[in-house]
Amino acid sequence: MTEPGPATLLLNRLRDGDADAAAELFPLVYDELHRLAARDMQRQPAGHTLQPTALVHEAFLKLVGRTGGASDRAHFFRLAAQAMRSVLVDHARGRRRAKRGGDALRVTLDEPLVAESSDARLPDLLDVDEALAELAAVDEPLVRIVELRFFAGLTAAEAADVLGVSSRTVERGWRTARAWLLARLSGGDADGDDRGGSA
Amino acid sequence: MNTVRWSLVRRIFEELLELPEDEREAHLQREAGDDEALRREVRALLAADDSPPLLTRLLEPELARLGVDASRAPGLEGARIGRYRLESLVATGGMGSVWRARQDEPARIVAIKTLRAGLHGTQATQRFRFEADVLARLAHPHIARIFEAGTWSEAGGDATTHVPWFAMEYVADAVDLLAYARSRALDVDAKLSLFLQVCDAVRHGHERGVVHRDLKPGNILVGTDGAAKVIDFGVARAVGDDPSTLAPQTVVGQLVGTLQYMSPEQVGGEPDAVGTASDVYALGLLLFELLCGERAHELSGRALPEAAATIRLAPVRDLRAVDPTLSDDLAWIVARAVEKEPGRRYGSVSEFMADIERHRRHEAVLAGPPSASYRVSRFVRRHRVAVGSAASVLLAVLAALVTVSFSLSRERAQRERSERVADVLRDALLTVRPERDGGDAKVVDLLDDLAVRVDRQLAGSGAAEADVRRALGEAYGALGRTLEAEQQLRRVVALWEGLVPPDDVRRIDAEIKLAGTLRGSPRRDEGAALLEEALARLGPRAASDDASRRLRAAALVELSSLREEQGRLDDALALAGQAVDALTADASRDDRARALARLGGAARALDRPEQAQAAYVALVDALVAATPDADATRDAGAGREDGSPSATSRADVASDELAHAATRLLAGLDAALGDDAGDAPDASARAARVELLTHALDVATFLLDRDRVDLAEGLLRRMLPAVRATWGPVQRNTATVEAALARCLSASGPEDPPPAPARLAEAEALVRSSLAALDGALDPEHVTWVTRLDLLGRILWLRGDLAGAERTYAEAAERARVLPDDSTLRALALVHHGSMLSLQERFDEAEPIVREGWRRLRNVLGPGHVETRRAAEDLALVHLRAADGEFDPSAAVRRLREGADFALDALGEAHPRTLQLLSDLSAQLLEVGDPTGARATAERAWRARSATRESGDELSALLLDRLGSCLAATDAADESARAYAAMAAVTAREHGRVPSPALVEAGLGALLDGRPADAAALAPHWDEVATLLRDVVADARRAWEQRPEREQELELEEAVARSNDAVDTLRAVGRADDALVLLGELADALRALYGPGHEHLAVLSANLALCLSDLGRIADARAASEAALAIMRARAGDGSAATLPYLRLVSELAEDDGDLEAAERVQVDVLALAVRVLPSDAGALADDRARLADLRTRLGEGGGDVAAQPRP
Repeated sequence: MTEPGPATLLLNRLRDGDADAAAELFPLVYDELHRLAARDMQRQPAGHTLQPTALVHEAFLKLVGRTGGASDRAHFFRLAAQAMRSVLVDHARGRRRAKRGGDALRVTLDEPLVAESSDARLPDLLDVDEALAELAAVDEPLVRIVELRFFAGLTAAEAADVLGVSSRTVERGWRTARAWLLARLSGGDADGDDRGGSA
Repeated sequence: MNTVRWSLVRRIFEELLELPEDEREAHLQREAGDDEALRREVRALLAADDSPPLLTRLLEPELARLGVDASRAPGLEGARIGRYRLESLVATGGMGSVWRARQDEPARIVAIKTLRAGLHGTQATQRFRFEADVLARLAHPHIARIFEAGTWSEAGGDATTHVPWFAMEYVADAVDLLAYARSRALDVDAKLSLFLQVCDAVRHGHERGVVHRDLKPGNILVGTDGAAKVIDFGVARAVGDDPSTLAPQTVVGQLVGTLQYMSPEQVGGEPDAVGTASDVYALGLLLFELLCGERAHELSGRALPEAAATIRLAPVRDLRAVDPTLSDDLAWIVARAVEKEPGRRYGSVSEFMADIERHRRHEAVLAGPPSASYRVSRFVRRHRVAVGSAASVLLAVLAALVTVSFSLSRERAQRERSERVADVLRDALLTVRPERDGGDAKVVDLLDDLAVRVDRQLAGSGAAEADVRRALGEAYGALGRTLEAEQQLRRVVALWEGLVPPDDVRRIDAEIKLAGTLRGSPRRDEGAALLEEALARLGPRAASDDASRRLRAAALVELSSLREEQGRLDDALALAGQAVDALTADASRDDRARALARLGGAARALDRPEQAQAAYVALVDALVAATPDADATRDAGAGREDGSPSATSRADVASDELAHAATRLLAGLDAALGDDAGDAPDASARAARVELLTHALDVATFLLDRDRVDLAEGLLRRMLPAVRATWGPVQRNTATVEAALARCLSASGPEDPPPAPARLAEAEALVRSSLAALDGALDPEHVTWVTRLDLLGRILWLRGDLAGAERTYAEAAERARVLPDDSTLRALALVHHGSMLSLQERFDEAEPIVREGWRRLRNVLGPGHVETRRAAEDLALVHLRAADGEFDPSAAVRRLREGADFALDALGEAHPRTLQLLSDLSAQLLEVGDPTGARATAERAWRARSATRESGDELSALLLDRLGSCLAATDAADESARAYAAMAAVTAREHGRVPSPALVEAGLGALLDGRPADAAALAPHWDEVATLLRDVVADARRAWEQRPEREQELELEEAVARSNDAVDTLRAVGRADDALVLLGELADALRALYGPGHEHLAVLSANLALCLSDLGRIADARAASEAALAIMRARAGDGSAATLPYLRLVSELAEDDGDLEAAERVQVDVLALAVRVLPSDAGALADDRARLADLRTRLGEGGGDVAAQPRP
């Protein structure tokens, strides 16, 4: 056992129920993921796609070290999955803005043009993000599963370890969440509560 | 969508997934009834369930683009925020970005700092606004000014994002502090004046209640005009803010870059401790780097945890070692600023600056070499003089001298003598020139000065010279300068020899004082001789004369101490007794207390607790009677005693007496110390306090010896503030009190739970502080180092810091090497060090060290001594754990054999550790194919166990289990069954939750032993038996949450072993489905304990594969077998013998699946590995060959040539 790193200390506080620790740790993780993404890309041949799972695991080693215990891992990966979601969603948001010219004022004017028909537009990651925000309101655990499986690229077994549930629970949850997201994003309406039966 | 609705949708959907497609609609109708909307929602999900992987298609392009864009700036260029147009990105990070921006009116360039849009939650936002507020509070030429703050709203597709920002001063063409100094090649003075600008800015912040907390080169910009600007108050905090709401670090820039300048208290995660002193520390590091161009700590390239440890523990480099051309003064100044303990740094940035200014004016600086500065601070505390005024320090010293000189003068020539003393003092005073000593000169230097002056001016003045030298000697003594003290007191004795007759009290008093300074020196025999002679001279007078009686007692006390040092313990005790007797009833209480304390000490040294207790109780009487509220205290004590139940035995009386004495002493301390944690008001009160605290410390240490931890703790806690105030933070007595309190806080019996984390944290801080105090104050070869490091090691171990404990014990062992060969401390340090290595799985290093410690203990204490046996247990444990960590069974056998031989010899064959070793050895022998040896070993273990009275516990069950499997392996089926039945009975008794022992015995026995016919006969009770099995697993899982990890492992491993057997039988009786459930639960428990990838999971997966194959799910079975192989390969290494059975399984299942080609392919690997790892005559090797040949025949390749080498 080596001395704990600062991220470990924050994790300890997190484990002790200190919610602020998450707020403090989040930017660290976000930054590290972003940096690793850039570096990873420079090292790889063109056309290579980033592996989120490699990024979050490497961020863990970097920030917590090899000595992190099972509980550290769980807390870290839960947070890292959220950070990965933010990294990707922020990036997508940046691109959407860039397409519109990068000027806040013009964006406002162009709004109706761009948002002409959400049916015609292919859904993107921002839509996933928004849909997840909606899902979180009724089923937070399911969103955690999506973050771990989808954004952080963990296997069902790894995600199960992080969440302290069985792989089966993760697999089942992931399948349900995937179905719901697809139904929701393909213009369909899985909940039907406020929009009626368009499915 | 609401929660209830959604959970209904989700439940039905997930139920439907489990059903065949043609049954789904009916189930949906049943569940949803006439709720058409519900049905529609679930159908939508079902439809989406089969859709192509849209989500992955969304993610991948984003990932690809992210990689390309990640290093590019966010696309805000040209954006307009308020009155500013963003021109270019200056810096970016996780929290936000800094932009160069242009303002039209007034036309100027500003820096705009924005918070990153994606940051959810209000924490970051609050902190960001806080920085703006902080900057607005500060107005200083060397702090970047803030112009305006606001929030920029960015409308996105569906939501509006709010980005807080603020505009601040832009430093054109700025470079950081160090780059600036380098590029301009500044000389030392220019560097210092630049640094003072920075200090002044930080000081300004502190005065307005703002601590920067993240000072580093990148946060200090220098413009082309040479003016420094401190920026980035992003993690600043207001003094007195609730620390929990604040971030410990910034994230702009790399984390290690930030860590580089963090103070130990910041890295240590003690937000409470982070204050202005942390900024002083960071400034110290900056000054170091500024002056010599190198970092005070080299952290780059290190892992974060290691870097954090360096900051907290490793001393900062010596500036002069990097650049010898720099002056001592500067090195001291830096060293003072970067002290590990905040309290030892400069008290404020202003003090720091003042010392630098002093250095620049070529005046003596406040900082000194560390040990000297400690001594000065201690001295200054003793005299309750504010630091910062050398003149007043000197005055205090001189005032003390004058008092002493005058009080001793009883000669007729008093006036003349006093005048000459006064002359000396006046001269000394005149040397204090405000322009030179305006701050502080060093007190020792002043004393040296005074000594030279006495040589010159008082030589030949007789009694006056003696008086002043005696005072000087005592002052040196108080500063820990024993050599100088001895030198002065020798002169005093010589002077009196020439002036007065041999029995003059002043002469004898001087001799006693001199003997006192010889304590602990190689000249202690001379001191003893001196005292013996003095006592002889006093003899005739002591009966009549009060002063002589007191001197006699003092001489006896001193002589007793010296005798103890000489190892003459009986003499020491006798002398202390004489000292007590020498004092009459009207003797002063101080004299009495001193004699009694010595008596207690001498009795303790002889290990006579009753005698020591009597002395200490009498000591408390003397002390408490000497405090103002003594009577009240005594009454209170008596009152309490009346109310308590009467003691029933002698031991109770004795222990009550001790508790009572401790209580009274505590009350006495309360009365004498009051609420004031500060120093005593005047010299005599101070002297009384020193006496009281010294004796209280003796009593507390004795209580600790007697395991009265709570009593000792109460006393020590009460004493500590007063001790620190009286002796100073770094004095030996303070260190002793701290260490004793640390012992109390970390005390716990072997059966007790470990002390609470908060107590351990406090204990660690105390013992570290005490160690720091020893540094420089104590001979490096002193035994106290070893005991104290040993204590620290224990605390670190209890805190779970194995590496720290290991390093500490290593240092203890290293220091102990100078101790005598027969020192038990030396042996114990080795045992402890080795045990920590073993806990870190560094077995090869651990074994010889623990063995050496054990050997020494055996030689010194004898083989049967409790410490020797404990060390032997530790060594046995090293072997056990080391064998556990071996993947290669034959290596494990070697280790276990060695361990068992040792344990049989050192602990005897009935010792639980010996039995564990034998049991593991037996299991491993089976593994390497030696069933006969395994059986003999298991039988020996069980015989030894059954001969003891504890043969009905879990260990017995374990041994029986081993025996059973060994017997089965040697075809002794009946005996094996009996062993298992006995084991089941033991287990049943142990767990005490079985309604019918007979049933369980039969059921488990049949199951575990693999007798399907018997098991099948149990069919009516099947559920009970199955439940019982599952309970075994469930118990293990519960145990995981409740027990220390090592025990959890044992428990779980036992469950794994039993369940594996049970699975075999369950399969044999056609209950593979039950076996699957059992395996699933076990796998969950294993993963929870070890994480994925443990070799047990490989075993489990293999069993899983077998069950699946039984159930006809061959494809699943093959997958499980391959997973098992992968786990084992990752764990033991490709090509390890341990992977052989898994390879075989993969091949066999491939064959079952009809995939003969795969089966053959894998079997080739099997044979290659078998040839390498099995003995050439092994039956298994022949089987493997035969099987490959068979497979090839069936594939039509002909099997005749398989006996040769396998194909490449």
